[in-house]
Amino acid sequence: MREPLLEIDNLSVTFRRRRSVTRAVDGVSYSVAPGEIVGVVGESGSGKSVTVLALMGLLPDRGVEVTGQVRYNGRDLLSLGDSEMAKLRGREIAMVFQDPISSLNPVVPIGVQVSEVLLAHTKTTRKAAMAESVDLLRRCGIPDPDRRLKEYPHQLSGGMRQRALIAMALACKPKLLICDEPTTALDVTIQAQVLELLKELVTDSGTAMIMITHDLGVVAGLCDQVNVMYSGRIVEAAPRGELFAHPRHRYTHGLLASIPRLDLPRGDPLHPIPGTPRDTVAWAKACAFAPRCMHATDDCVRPDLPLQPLPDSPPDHPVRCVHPAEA
Amino acid sequence: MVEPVETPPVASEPDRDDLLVVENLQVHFPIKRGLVFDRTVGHVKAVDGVSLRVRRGSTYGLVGESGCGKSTFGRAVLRLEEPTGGTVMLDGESVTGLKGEALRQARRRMQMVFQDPLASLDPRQSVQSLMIEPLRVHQPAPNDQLVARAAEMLELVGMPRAALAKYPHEFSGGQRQRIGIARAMILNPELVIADEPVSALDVSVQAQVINLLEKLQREFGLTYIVIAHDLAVVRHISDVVGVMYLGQMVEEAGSDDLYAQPLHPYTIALMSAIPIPDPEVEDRRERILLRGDLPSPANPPSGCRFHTRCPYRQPTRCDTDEPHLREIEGHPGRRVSCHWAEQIASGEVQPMDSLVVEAVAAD
Ligand SMILES: Nc1ncnc2c1ncn2[C@@H]1O[C@H](COP(=O)(O)OP(=O)(O)OP(=O)(O)O)[C@@H](O)[C@H]1O
Ligand SMILES: Nc1ncnc2c1ncn2[C@@H]1O[C@H](COP(=O)(O)OP(=O)(O)OP(=O)(O)O)[C@@H](O)[C@H]1O
Ligand code: SF4
Ligand code: SF4
Ligand SMILES: [Mg+2]
Ligand SMILES: [Mg+2]
Repeated sequence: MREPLLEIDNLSVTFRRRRSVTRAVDGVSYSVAPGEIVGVVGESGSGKSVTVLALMGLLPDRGVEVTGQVRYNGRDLLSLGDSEMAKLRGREIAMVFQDPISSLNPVVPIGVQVSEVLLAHTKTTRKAAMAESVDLLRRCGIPDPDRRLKEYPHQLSGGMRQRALIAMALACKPKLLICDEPTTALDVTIQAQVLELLKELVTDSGTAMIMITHDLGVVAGLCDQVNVMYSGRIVEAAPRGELFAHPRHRYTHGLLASIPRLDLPRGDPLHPIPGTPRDTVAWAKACAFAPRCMHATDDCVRPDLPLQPLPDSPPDHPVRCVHPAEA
Repeated sequence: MVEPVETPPVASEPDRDDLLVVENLQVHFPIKRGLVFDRTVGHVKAVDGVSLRVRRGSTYGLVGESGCGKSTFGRAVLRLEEPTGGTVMLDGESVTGLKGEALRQARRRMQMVFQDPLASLDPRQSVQSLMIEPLRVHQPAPNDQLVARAAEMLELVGMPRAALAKYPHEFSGGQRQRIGIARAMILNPELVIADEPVSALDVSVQAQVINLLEKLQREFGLTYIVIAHDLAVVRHISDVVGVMYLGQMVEEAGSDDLYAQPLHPYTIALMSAIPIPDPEVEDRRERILLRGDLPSPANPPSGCRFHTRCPYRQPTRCDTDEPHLREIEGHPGRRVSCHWAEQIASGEVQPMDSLVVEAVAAD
């Protein structure tokens, strides 16, 4: 195993409003090594984004409490000052969000935006940076980059904007790339291009990558290691082959049984998970999935069920479940 | 523009089993320019000559890239959008020229279910008033009868009667979609067009709504057109799938056949791009990548509309002759709009190497 570049250790995030207290992330730990793609899956509101926003220092200052540790290259990110963090963000850690329009400057041409990133990170001339931008945009699958360079974000299609954003992320040659649903808004044919590009980046430059998605298919094709989140906690983690071949947590298992598969014979009915992610209980009381779980018993009503290896699964496949599915 | 020489042949003569017959449907939106007088300077050909048939009690799935005209097609069938050409026949009667009361009657028989259940329901109206509104218009009756019918419909979609007194925002996405479906079904329609019915829902909730749609179809003999970008969902629910590209149908096939052997280059690329939640399958797959983006429907490419991105493009015909949807020998029930479909099926014509990506196992 390579040394991890980033280690998230027992990270918790609590939002405090006048009346409500939301524990959005509740003791999450995972790590990423150079050249590795770590997937985080889970449904809306499970805490995938808040986890990475917290470690990037991008959550609002007020009404938010972040605890735990995040080690990046030996430094504790959570204790870095704003300016140090900002430096790191531009230089070594890049992020690609789902919604590219909000991450691009609407009044600056794409080419200038990409070359500014280059200028900020390498000793180069404006002209050379422009030339490199063209090359980057081309590599990111933007046709006719010489012309596109002069266009503003609103002149590009959604897929094109997303690729421009990835070009910007690549321009700083990040050591760590965090992708939060980078292809969710794109058509699958464009998604395939973008994922191919990201895969290439990891293989060629040894970038460490976190891939947040709700699409189990994307995870299956791309990620080395997979973390499944539910209601603020990781409920199951394993290398992708192991996870898809032997899902053990009842939520993961149920999820895989509920989605139709393109490559399997049609006609088998789907087996939905009852209820919605809103039907949850606090982990401090019981398994948060219990209200929707067909295998729940009184044993599941215990505070803070541990995420632990099972006797009949490999040690790198911990599960947070009292009655796991058969291996 | 060159007019098509022949109207695309539809599989066979219409028969009584076809609930819906659409011939050469067009929706061209005018592009207006000018400060004082609006001048029409061109048209967005959102739907440009689509023909299809839907058999009674079956499900027709419609897929294709964002902006290819799926929703506009659905809306034009229901006359929510005025077609600029072509005909729509429901149960042997033309819907195209209908006006006033006759159109109202036809609309009762066809309903739409939308993607975003919140947006299609007025937030200030209670569920009860939302549910009985269509009944008031089409089947007036004393209020308590309408309410009873609404409660019955809600029960059918798995919602308690108590939901009647609540407001849309009090429900989760899945529950709102159930309410949207109950509302669409309350007038006993024969044809239901569902436009992205599950794409706004959490993955774990999608199967509930898919199963519900299937159950209602079995119980009431409903005919569906399901529009969705998730091909796995469409294939699961549909008997026949049509693939659209830039306002036109490029391939139509039984939904098992379409995945087993797609014949149109766009379908081939699309199928190869869909991620499958199984690493073993993913590692064995080959992806065929497309170049560039969807061209503008205001100014579609010459010849075959797909030629600017087609991985199988040939030096002749592709950029000059417009292909038409046609049947392919040896592939019953299939229509394909590509000059080279036979050669692609036989392997004689191959995709450009640079666009084929072999899967490499990540570990
Ligand atoms: N700024 C905020 N203030 C209060 N609560 C917040 C804030 N941001 C997020 N939350 C809450 O934290 C929880 C986790 O949100 P998060 O955005 O991490 O979910 P997610 O897993 O990324 O979901 P999605 O798939 O929808 O992006 C949610 O319940 C959300 O409502
Ligand atoms: N009222 C309108 N006026 C002008 N152009 C329109 C109008 N409605 C749709 N269009 C255009 O028609 C084309 C087809 O749009 P449509 O919404 O039918 O696509 P779609 O296949 O449903 O896409 P999506 O998957 O994104 O929902 C698009 O280029 C769109 O911009
Ligand atoms: S701990 Fe119990 S309730 Fe939770 S997933 Fe496992 S079996 Fe179900
Ligand atoms: S006609 Fe030519 S360009 Fe069009 S789909 Fe067939 S091979 Fe491709
Ligand atoms: Mg998120
Ligand atoms: Mg649409």
